[in-house]
Amino acid sequence: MEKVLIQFAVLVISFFGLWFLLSRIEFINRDRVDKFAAESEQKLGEIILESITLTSEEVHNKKLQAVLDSIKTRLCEGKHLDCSKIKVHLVRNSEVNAFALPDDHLVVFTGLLEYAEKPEEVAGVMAHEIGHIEKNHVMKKLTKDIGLSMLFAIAGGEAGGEIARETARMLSSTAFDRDKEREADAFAVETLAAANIDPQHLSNFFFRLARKHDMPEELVWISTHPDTDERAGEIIKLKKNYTLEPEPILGTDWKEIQRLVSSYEEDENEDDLRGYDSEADSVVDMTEEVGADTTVVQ
Amino acid sequence: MAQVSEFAYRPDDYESEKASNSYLMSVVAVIAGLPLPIINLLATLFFYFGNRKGTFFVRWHCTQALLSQATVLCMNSAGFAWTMSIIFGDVTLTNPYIAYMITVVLFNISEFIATVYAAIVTRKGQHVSFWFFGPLTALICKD
Repeated sequence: MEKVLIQFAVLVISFFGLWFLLSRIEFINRDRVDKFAAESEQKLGEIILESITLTSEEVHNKKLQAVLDSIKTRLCEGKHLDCSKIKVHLVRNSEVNAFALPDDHLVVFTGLLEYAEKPEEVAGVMAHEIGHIEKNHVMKKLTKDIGLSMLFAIAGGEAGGEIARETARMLSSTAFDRDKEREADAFAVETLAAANIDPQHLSNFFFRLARKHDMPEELVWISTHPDTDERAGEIIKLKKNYTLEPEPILGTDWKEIQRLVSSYEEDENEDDLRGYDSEADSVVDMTEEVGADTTVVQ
Repeated sequence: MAQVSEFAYRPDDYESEKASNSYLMSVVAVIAGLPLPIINLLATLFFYFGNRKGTFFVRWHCTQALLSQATVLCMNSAGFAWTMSIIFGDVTLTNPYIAYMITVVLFNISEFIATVYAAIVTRKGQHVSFWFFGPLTALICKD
């Protein structure tokens, strides 16, 4: 019996010893792989974003951008996230939708801003999408669904525009798997609580969308986020783990922001950019408000 | 790794062939079952159950072949699961994974060589005992 045990120990030690020694060899240069992957992801993000903005125009209105940036800053600073890496793009599209792209791009459709009743609801949706970014769900989904070699082909410009458009369509109109959606929900609740924003607003947003029996085609975000009722309930449960002292996100009336979204025209956009000086005050005002909010959070 | 010794009695030609076949079974299964490690064990297991009422010499070598296969199966299964999670899951390709696969391949090759050697030796009517599996078989398999 003793002989068996000794020989078993030698066998186990030799197996794990050999594995351990071989593990010391650098078969894969992780730094080079990471660098290559980061460069490809950056190009992939740019290409997919470009294919989206080819069909739906990106809104460059400074006021609206400042609103989204202020929400992003509030969310990031509450949870000490690197805010600068997340690039928020407002895209003119009537669909109620927001989604994350590779390389930390976050696309928000104007339809979402028009549909949301409060900026806190937009913050909830953005926190959920930032969750997908922070947990690297986008690249995991793309790698799983279309394969690494195809992603490199798109990033290298070898795959053609149609595949890039199809990838963009997939990211904007299909859900992540159930576990990843729940993970992003949990992240959103944690982030909102850290930013002193009540997660109840995100839950309300879910409930409101789920209660719409005659769901119009524009309500894309809800169709890509299934089990809405259940998840809204889950958010309320998670919320109980945090002590909240909610503070308003914006100093501006939300209806005014929505009017700006509705009345937004391309000409205004051009004027906005050309006549930046004439409107500089209002832009600065908005930025100062953002700063003020941030200070309150800190 | 494999030691040739005298058995309790001198097996006849029929017994030697049966004992040798128990090793050949796992060798053939290794070739057929490389992508699915369970096939190796199943083949050896069926052969074992087919001969468990055989003579002592045949039973002994069937048991040794089965035990060595079961160990390799555990190593291969872990490697198989790890590979599947890299292909279909969220797991990334790492140095420990490659090291593990090399280790498993080396152990598989060693087991393969030992098995072929045992098949040849037992066919000649000689008794062969593997490192660890031999003494373990001696504990399990009684006359």
